[in-house]
Amino acid sequence: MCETCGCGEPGVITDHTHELNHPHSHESHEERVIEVRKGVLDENAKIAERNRGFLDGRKAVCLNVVGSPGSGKTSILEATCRHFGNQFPMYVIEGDQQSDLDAGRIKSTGVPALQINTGFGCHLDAQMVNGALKEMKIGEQGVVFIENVGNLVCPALFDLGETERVLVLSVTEGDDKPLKYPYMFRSAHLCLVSKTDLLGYVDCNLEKLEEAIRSVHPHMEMIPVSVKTGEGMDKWYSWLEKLRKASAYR
Amino acid sequence: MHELSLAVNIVEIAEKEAKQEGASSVQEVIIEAGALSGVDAGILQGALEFASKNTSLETTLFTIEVPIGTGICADCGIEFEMKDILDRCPVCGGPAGEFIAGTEFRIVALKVD
Repeated sequence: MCETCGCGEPGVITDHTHELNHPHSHESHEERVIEVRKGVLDENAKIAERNRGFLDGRKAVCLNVVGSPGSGKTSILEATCRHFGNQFPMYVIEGDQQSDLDAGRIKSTGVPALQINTGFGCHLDAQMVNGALKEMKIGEQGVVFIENVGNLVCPALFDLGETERVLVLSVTEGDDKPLKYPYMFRSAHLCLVSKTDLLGYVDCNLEKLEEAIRSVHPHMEMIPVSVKTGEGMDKWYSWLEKLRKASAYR
Repeated sequence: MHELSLAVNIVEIAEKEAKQEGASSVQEVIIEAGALSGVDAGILQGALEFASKNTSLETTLFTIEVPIGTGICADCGIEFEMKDILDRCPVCGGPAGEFIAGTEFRIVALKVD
């Protein structure tokens, strides 16, 4: 309606007696629809791509390591840092709600680590990682491990700009977990089944687990490992080396 | 729990769009969270009520639509409808190798004054 004369309003005569030089839209002030069509995670995806470009420029590999609290993520990373030592630059970004305990464990292996505390947050996002990557001064052809907050639900949705996503599942968690947390399993490229030295003590059947993984993510690789006995760790190291070489020649 | 941070994103995007369009108030925000998106529509609804408190969207209606997904069977290659991420191929019982619809999570439109 016209705000000067009220024309357009029901019951108002639209025969103008006033001058027509004021803003004179007869468009109604009723509801209108604005098409938005924007992804809720678009902003995160944009920053994740920026992270990916930053890493590509350095021919670096970045792994987003996800899994439950206590699944053995930090132990696997400690062993990996010790195994490769000075062969190539490594960096670890640690995500936890509180404390810098994990960063301390990694630093004791001689590899630089940076702790991000998410406070009440249940996952890392691309912006947090962006800040950490800049702070760490990532060298050429290195490997960046991001240990996400221990959680099998929330981190699934947040791309951090990683090259690949590695899910650590311990045998103590049981062989039904892929079916209970399908989104996380679906989002990962490799599943490290950890603590296989405990297989004789818990009800976890590796064949059943493999079948459960396949029903959620038919193309996912699975490597059973034990940090304690070293079983399977060579396969994990070869997997990582292969990925690193592929990135270096990209 | 991540639904809360997603809800905060939705409120921020909607407020920004409404402002850009010069809208005086937002009556409704229409959201699509596909059946394979990993977002729980029920939890998101509650999170939106919480996230919109003390914002210009406090009285806004949030409508969440859940489009059905489509998967391609990893074993026989046919396309099939999926209402759940664990749904299997109705022909051979194989799992979905690829999702071609139902992973969208976006704000479709705003109804404003």
